[in-house]
Amino acid sequence: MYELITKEDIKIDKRKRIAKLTESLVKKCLEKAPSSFELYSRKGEKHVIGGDNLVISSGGGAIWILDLDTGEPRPTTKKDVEETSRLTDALEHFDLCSATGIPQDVKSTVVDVMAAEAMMINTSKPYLMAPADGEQARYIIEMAAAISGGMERLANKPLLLGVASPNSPLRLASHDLDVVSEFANNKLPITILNCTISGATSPVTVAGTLVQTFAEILSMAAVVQLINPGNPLLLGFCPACIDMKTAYATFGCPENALVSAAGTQMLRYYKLPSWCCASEVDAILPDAQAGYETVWNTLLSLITGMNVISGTGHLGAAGGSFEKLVIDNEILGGIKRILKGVEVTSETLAVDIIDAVGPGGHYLAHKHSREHLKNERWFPKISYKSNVEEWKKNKVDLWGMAKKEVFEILRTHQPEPLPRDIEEKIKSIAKKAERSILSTS
Amino acid sequence: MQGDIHSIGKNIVATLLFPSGFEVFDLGEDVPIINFINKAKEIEADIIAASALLTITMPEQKNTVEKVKAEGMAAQVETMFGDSPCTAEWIKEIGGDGYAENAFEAVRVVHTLLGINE
Repeated sequence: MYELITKEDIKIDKRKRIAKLTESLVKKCLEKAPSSFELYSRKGEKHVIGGDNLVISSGGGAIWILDLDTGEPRPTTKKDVEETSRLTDALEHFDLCSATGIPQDVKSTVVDVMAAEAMMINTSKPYLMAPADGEQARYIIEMAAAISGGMERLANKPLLLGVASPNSPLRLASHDLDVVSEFANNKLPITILNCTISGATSPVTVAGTLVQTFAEILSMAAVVQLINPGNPLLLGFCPACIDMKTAYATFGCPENALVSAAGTQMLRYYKLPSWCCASEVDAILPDAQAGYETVWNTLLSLITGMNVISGTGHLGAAGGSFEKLVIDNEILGGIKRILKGVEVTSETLAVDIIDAVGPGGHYLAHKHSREHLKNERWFPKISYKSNVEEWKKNKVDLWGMAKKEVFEILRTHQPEPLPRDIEEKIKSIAKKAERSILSTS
Repeated sequence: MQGDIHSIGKNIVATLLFPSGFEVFDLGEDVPIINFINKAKEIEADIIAASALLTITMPEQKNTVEKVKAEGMAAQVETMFGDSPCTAEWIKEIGGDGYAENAFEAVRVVHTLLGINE
């Protein structure tokens, strides 16, 4: 990395270990970054990242999960990653899959490789991974190449998107730069995801947090372009605020929604694809708080034109939940309807129909209702939509409805299987990684 | 711990310990175990505390406990650990003396480890 940056117009203070990238160099680098790029599922389905497109991913990195049977928080396991991946595979509003949990039942130095193995076998959707270090990134890329049929094919039709983060304030850590190098050297798309904690690792003001955020993500983006000019790139936000009562990093705050929304507008100005962890919440249960925190973060970001959202299926304090994945799928369905907006044509204005039905008439069986119902309406799957007498029969709330849906999907849904030899190859790469990493740590 | 430059959790704990009357020697970040040992000997520390945000640096906490034992310091120095991926089970597994879920809890744990009232 040092050799790479010394070639450029960068002021380096070796003693303080500070490299200052000039504005002209960063601009030159950003011009090389594509305004959009493509991701593929292993079935060949294409997703365009950037422009006016919206792509939804499940969230990754939960260290605990709500147990489906007991409803209690417990440490995440590798089996949870297998099952949440299979669940994500079935949910229609999710385009990409991330390993929902960091498995706590495997050695800590190989968690990301183990999570990747569990995920890749259990969904055909494109994969999103945030490896903690370069070595694990290398093995995960090797697994993805095994699915694609080689590194060149993987680079041409990437089915893996990486994530690395600056270390706020104003630092790029070597383990993150190693991850960036692994992806960029292999011409694979990478997300630079900013994780400021306002009031602790960034200014307490939204405006100040944005200034620092852009200094961090643009400099890391420049590094990506110095390694491989033209490398596909996504910049994003997973903003938190420090809670002054608990000293905890909190994600469900309205201020975070403002950081993501304003950040999206900035990235549209730079013509770069944007990402945010919109569905991150602080609620420990999938309750009303989880619902409103999800909606204000997600809706605001998407209205401003965010390209990729993640953080879905998450609960507070780095938690995850099967039921929250299903609830977020429902929320996103409704939000997609809002984003479709109001279609205004002579047909939808329905002036003649209003006239024909007239005062005191009704629209129940009208041809106009039949013709426009499917296009105009969103059809919820698990939300309650009937009267109180009907509710009294089962007394099920949204959490209960979501749980029912989870059990049904896990009982019936199987992802498109990987060819047996490729599945074996992925498992053997995971074993090789485990042997190699554990022998040195 | 060595290999980890995430410092905000450690900073919060240090910030909260100070007004409770404790003398905190902040060794910074990316700290090799030997630095903890040397400093603890030099100042006759009661507690060695360290955080690991990255899963890949968690084994350094285990190595710290082992080094404290190897140096024959276990009777004089308590060890306590924390940060996002660490759990009470993990700290128990590695033989650490204290674990806290958050910074306020950390202050309570320090009192408990030293047998003093808050």
